[in-house]
Amino acid sequence: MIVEDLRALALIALWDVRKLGRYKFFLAMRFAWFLLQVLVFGFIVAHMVSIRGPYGPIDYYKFYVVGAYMAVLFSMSIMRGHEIVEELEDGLIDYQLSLPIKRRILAIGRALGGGIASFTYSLPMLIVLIVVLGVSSVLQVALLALVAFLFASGLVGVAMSIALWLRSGDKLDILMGISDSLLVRLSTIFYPIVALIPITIYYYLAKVNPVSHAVDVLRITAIPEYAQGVTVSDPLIMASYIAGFTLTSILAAITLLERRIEGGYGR
Amino acid sequence: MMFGAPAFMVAYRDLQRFWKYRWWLAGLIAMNLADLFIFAIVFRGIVRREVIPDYFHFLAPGIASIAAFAAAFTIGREVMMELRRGFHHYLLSLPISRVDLVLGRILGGVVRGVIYQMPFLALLVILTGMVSPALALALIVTIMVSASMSSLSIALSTAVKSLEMQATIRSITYFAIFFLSNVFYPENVLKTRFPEPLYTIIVNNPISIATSIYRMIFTPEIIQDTHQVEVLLAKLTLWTITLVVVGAILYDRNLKG
Repeated sequence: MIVEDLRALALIALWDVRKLGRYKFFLAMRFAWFLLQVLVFGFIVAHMVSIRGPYGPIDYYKFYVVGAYMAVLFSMSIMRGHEIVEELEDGLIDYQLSLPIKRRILAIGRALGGGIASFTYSLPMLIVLIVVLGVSSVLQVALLALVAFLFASGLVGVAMSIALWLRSGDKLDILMGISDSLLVRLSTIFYPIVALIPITIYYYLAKVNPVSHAVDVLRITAIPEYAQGVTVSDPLIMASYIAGFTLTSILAAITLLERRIEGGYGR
Repeated sequence: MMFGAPAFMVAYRDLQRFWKYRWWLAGLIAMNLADLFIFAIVFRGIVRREVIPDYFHFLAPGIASIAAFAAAFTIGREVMMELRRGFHHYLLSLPISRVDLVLGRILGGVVRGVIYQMPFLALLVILTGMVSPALALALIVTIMVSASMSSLSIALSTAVKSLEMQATIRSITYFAIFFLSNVFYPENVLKTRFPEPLYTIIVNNPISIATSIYRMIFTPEIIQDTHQVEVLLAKLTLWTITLVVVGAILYDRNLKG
């Protein structure tokens, strides 16, 4: 039984991964956006800002490259929500529910498959990050990839849950548009947590924002010399936070897929 | 019918269609406001005072430029979809001249840019307390920047046949204009960081020109640039005329083909 479930899980995950070729133009756009962020925005802004951590000044350029990568990973993962709504519209989800696969396996497979796909889309950007930051240790690279994949899976779980809950492309557009703007800016993608201390409300929102935890785990892995003392929390706590976030979001997707999916698509 | 009236009808149709994207607009508004009230406020605390004394007031005019640019640029996507679906055959069958149709589409982008940007200009007035006849100049700049970006968007949407390629070119152009402008960074920093030719391109981009004029009107105390408003207006006029002519020619060529 377990072997059958695992096989089904792999098939579902592969189904999402195989759609990669469909998004080559989208990928080109995201890559262009990332390059402009790294080569222009980050490069210029690094000469305008001055941030000191407890161990000395922070190299903002290196700090920002990791943030730009996280912004891309975030938008690519969240995009899966739109895909789910399209699949609801096309009746593809109904078809998948009719397959001889347990619903929880279906949900986990879609979240993991979406996570693998989003992570794979982001690979060219991750390579740029590794080259620019001079990350040379295999362990560091493996950790970066693991955290990026875990967080992408969690985000896909969230996007799936919201899409299944709303079942409306219009409502999803507005919610995703607003949350994209707010979650990215109210996180430590563009600035370290110490920069948010003067604005109390922003500071606490950034502290609980999973995006902050994910990007700071990447920073402490890739550039520990600049990230030490300026992350939202202790590395182990941040890693646990990301694991908990991913698990919770996949569980939410499982629950919604099991209970709320019948009834088709409604605007 | 009065000369030019059909062009206004075409533009009115484009404005009506703009509201169809209310969900997308909500996302765009959220992004523009988040850039101003979160990003700029936090950055005000970390940008060195000798570079920019107040980043919030520095960025606010740039956000107004970006707002007009983003809204006007949407017209290209629709032109692209219409050409793809053959809807332009219907538009050509209407009892209006080709010139009115082409000008109407560009005007449609202008109206979108102006209407979307108005609340951001009002916000600038509230934030800076600037109420003077110079507001008329700001409106003229908005019209010109919307016309140039609307025409550029139409030109790009008719330049190549492949839908995916068009979308990619449009997005890359959008990002390039967005980041290679003076919206987020002062020109003196750009000058020290980029080679002269690239610096010249950046500061002469229509969005940079519009932002410089808005800054002169609303926040002149933040950055002391050496520009002369007459020169900036002349450059923006030149951009507007060139892009409107190119956009109109390319759109007309595709309508024929």
